[in-house]
Amino acid sequence: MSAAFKKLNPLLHSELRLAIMALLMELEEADFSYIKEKTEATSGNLSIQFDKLAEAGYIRIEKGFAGKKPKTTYSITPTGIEAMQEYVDALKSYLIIPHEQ
Amino acid sequence: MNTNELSPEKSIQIISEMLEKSRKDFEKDSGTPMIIWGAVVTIVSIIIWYVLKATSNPYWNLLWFAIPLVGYPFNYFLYYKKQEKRAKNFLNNAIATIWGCFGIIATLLPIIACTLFHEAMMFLTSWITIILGFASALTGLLMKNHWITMSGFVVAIAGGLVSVFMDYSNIPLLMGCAALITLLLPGIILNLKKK
Repeated sequence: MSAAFKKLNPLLHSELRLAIMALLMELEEADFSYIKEKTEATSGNLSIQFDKLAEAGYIRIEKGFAGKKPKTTYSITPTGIEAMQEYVDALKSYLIIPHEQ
Repeated sequence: MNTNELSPEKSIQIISEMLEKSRKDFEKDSGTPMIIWGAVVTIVSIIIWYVLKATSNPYWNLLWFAIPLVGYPFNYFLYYKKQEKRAKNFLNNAIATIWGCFGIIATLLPIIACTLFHEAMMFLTSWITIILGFASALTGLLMKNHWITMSGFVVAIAGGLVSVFMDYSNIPLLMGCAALITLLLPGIILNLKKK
């Protein structure tokens, strides 16, 4: 491997937070139950990770209503997309790509 | 899933897994609206072609309005109602927007034109065939599906050219063939691939 290791963003280098971000990269928006189902995480843990990602400006949390029921939707921000791109670039420096061997 | 630190390999695996999971939700039955609209347009077009040939009564052109009247309820109950509502996908929204625009043009244009000019339906049918091919080509390009893209281009260009020389009484048949090539067949292929 020729390139030096790049530093991995500690906020994204965690199983659940990375899963949330990867999921939101593909979607325009998603609600709590959808993300919970796909990540198979507990509600409490998920809420904590959402707050951390929102504090960093990586995701946007919008509270609204679906009919009479309260509904919270999550979407990735441009800062979040940039952070994910940098994270994936950094990941590549740790992986041995066969044709470079 | 927890918040533990992970290896780079595991990170890549999580990213791929999540992308795959969300894609699967939206790809499932993605050909169904094409099958519904393709079947409705093909059947109605062939019926109109047949009755116009048999009776030469232009009022049978009013049957074109059966397409939205039958298509929208079928699409609602057989597709839209079963769709994942908890998340929105960029690609599906873009495709829905293209076909929404096509639906508005293909519904309003004949209503307005037929109110203003009698027997305008035959001219409009060939124009709508071109727009149908255009919408299909855009859908194929967004979905990165060569079959849908090519069928859209073929229908828009060949359909447009053929309609210039074609006898007006056969234009409904052209519309039926266009719907078969751009909607019904690609829809069936898409659904079979996802099964």
